[in-house]
Amino acid sequence: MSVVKLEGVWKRYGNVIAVRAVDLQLPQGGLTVFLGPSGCGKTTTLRMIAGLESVSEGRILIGERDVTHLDPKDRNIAMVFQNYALYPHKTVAENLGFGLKIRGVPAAEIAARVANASQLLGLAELLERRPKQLSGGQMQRVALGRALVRDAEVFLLDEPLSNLDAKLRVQMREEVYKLHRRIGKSMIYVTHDQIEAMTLADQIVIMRDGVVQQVGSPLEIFDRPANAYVAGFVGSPEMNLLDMRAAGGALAGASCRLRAPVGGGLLPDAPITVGIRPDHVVVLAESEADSADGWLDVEVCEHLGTTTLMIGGFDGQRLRVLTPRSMVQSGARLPLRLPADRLHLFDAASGARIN
Amino acid sequence: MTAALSGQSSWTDRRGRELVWGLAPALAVLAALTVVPAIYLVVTSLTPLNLAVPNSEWDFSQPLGNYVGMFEDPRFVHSLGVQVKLSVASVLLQLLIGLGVALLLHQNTTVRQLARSWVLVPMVLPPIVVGITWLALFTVDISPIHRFLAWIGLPVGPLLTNPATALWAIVLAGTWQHFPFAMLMALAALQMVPEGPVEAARIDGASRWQVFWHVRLPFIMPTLVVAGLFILIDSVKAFPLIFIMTDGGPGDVTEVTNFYVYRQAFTFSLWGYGSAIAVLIMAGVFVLSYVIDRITTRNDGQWS
Amino acid sequence: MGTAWQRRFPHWRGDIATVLLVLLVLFPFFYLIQMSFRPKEDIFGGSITFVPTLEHYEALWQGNFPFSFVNSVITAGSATLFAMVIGVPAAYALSRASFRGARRIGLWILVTRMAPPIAFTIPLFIAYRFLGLHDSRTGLVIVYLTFSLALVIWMMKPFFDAVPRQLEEAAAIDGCGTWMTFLTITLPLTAPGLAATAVICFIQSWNDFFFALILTRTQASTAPVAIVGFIQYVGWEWGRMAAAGTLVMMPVVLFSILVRRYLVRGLAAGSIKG
Repeated sequence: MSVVKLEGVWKRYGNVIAVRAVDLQLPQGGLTVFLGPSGCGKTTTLRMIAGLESVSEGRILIGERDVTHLDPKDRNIAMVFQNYALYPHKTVAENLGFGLKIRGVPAAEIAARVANASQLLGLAELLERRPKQLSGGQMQRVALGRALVRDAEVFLLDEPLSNLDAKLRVQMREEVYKLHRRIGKSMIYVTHDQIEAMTLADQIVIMRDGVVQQVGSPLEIFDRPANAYVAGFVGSPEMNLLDMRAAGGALAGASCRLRAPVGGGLLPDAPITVGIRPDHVVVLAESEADSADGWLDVEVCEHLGTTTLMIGGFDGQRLRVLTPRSMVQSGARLPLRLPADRLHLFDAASGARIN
Repeated sequence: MTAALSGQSSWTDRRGRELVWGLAPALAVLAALTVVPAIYLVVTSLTPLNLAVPNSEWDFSQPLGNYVGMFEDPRFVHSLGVQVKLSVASVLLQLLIGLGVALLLHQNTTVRQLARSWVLVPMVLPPIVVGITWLALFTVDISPIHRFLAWIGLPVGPLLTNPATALWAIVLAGTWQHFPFAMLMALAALQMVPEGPVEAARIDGASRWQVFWHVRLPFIMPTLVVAGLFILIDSVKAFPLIFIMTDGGPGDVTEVTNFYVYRQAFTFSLWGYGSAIAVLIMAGVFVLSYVIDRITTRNDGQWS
Repeated sequence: MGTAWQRRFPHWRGDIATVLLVLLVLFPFFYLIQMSFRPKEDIFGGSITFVPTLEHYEALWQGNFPFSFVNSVITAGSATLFAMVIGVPAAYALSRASFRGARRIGLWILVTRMAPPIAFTIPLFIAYRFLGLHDSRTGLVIVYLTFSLALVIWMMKPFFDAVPRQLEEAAAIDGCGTWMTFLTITLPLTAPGLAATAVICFIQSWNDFFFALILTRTQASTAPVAIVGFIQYVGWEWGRMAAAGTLVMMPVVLFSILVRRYLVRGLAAGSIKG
């Protein structure tokens, strides 16, 4: 059963299309991440679900109800903003209880729910403070608490961690994960950080320029990116994308030939973008050099401790190779094999996946 | 399946409509009290309305008569000259003194922070009070200033009754009254000058004056321009000081255009003519306001 | 100056200059006040010490001045009150508005603020004669209301602009309607701006001379106009003029000092952000 459905949703600002033909079904109780760079439409889509932006075309359903034209307050949603949006002139307790107070919930119940949420998030000692007396992490938890208290059907989070420093971000990420498991509510989480997406999501929706690129679980997206853009976006270090041509059942670069993966479906002489992750490239030993697919002229060597990242020229293009720690230096020339079963093939023009 | 522009409104639409309700009463009041009189003013300016002459308000035979007559009226042209002198002097003096005081008060010591409030006093005083105070200060037999000047050997004659000095006496009083405004704006602008370029200049060995001239001044220039425009518009409205201190005289030496209109309308009852000049003044004010609006809104990104 | 002093007042040279400047600037102000307390015989005396007297204030009390003072309070107060009630929501609406006319309305407000009073008095003088509003407090209040309204909108809009929209969106999700959000969230956050605006508004109306001069005669004359009476009718009664002047300026000076922090912020912000 899906808790949120978007059917053919478009958003236009005058002549500019911000969100184009989005069809989504988000699972009940799951944590869905909208992932993409700034300006890709993920926040706009979130705000349309919240009701803060109007929908130019299409429908939005929450829990089988058509909410497309409803006010935000009637949609049974709760939202955590990037800048927390805590009411500066109210105490933490008042911030938490404000939504309930407006709806006329009796004071006793407000107190109970506030107590419950503050316990869950470790806010019990902070209840009488004002937002300006709180640290970034504390403010973030109050923002989460405010959403929790409302007991809404769907929780919307708009880049909630991007204002925190790196260490705090990792900590809060765990908190969000545990919180989600604990309360079991559906969450929609917007971020541009792929690590947040990979670690938190049950399902990732990748967007670019207003169009949904792929929807799937983190590992699905990682293992089988639907197009070259997704392939380059997810995974660190970035996947290598090489320009090649299909040539008689194999892949031909400027001077090298690669075996194509089975079941290719390749049109002869078609330009192909070949993707391979840096850690899937095999560095051959000197003895196997004859069976190499090509040679890497190492330009930059980054020794990261456990692993070594080599960046250099391969077949006239740039290639990144990640290996367990090695003593390779810049200027070395290494024989490489690019195993066929590790290749991702994309149509060079459209970017769509072929294999 | 798509519920496109189905005629159903969204939250943003509804909110927009509710906001307009808050704006409507104010707009209604303003429309009634500004647009209507403005229209009436323009219409009257097309007639030779003279309260002493019956039916002159309906005489549209020479609609532009007042406007043409204006420039043939030597007293009007003279008033323009007086106005220009007053305005230029006001803008220059107030900006310079305001900037100077702002530079002095820019440091954040306790003394200077207190001073910032006290220095505002002239600006909030009722103009009439400023008028009578300076009237006393310019009256030779009474004024401690004149007595002091005589005592140190620089006796100064009566300034308000001397045609050569009357206008400048008014400028002095007006500058005293209004310089805090320029000071406020310069001070606020100075406080927003980023420390980065200032420190870089200091490290490069610039003197205090050079730091001011090359770093701070360019930053605050837009604010000074806007302040200057405000002062200019304000100088066009000069009235109470002239009314109290010189009544336009001696002769018509201090008769600025605004004062001239007052005379024409309320002493000679030449309302049509007065309206025409008023329309001219309004046009000038409108142009200056438009310029201010363009500058302040264009620079909004820089200042916020 | 010892080093302890220098540490405490590192910019002491400028501070001394500042003190001198303030004394110089405020000299005329203090001059008038002290004149109002000087006995009539010695009113222009040169000595700094004198026996203060209240004779001028007593003389004022006997005459017409208290009446015009009360008129000032009523007209300036009412105009300010109405201007705030009508203008503050309007400023908010303009701040949040996304319709194209908003910019033009802003210009209209600015022009109204900047317009020379003479442009209004001619039409209003005639209209008031016709409507029987001449020499009436209501007539003055209507005029003051116009300019006060423009001032309120012009000053409050930047304060509302400064309240982040996300706060209001959060309130909307929490269940508040448009004006409920305004009252419970936005307005409390602009309290300093409200105070500054109300004070500046009051000062502007209180200080008005021109409109009161033209549109009133005896019934509704305000304090500034009454002062002029001392010159024209009573002969040069300097003592009483000084006393009247002191009384007229006291409320505005006191207000300014009370809210001086907000005043400076308000004046500067309002002027710069346009």
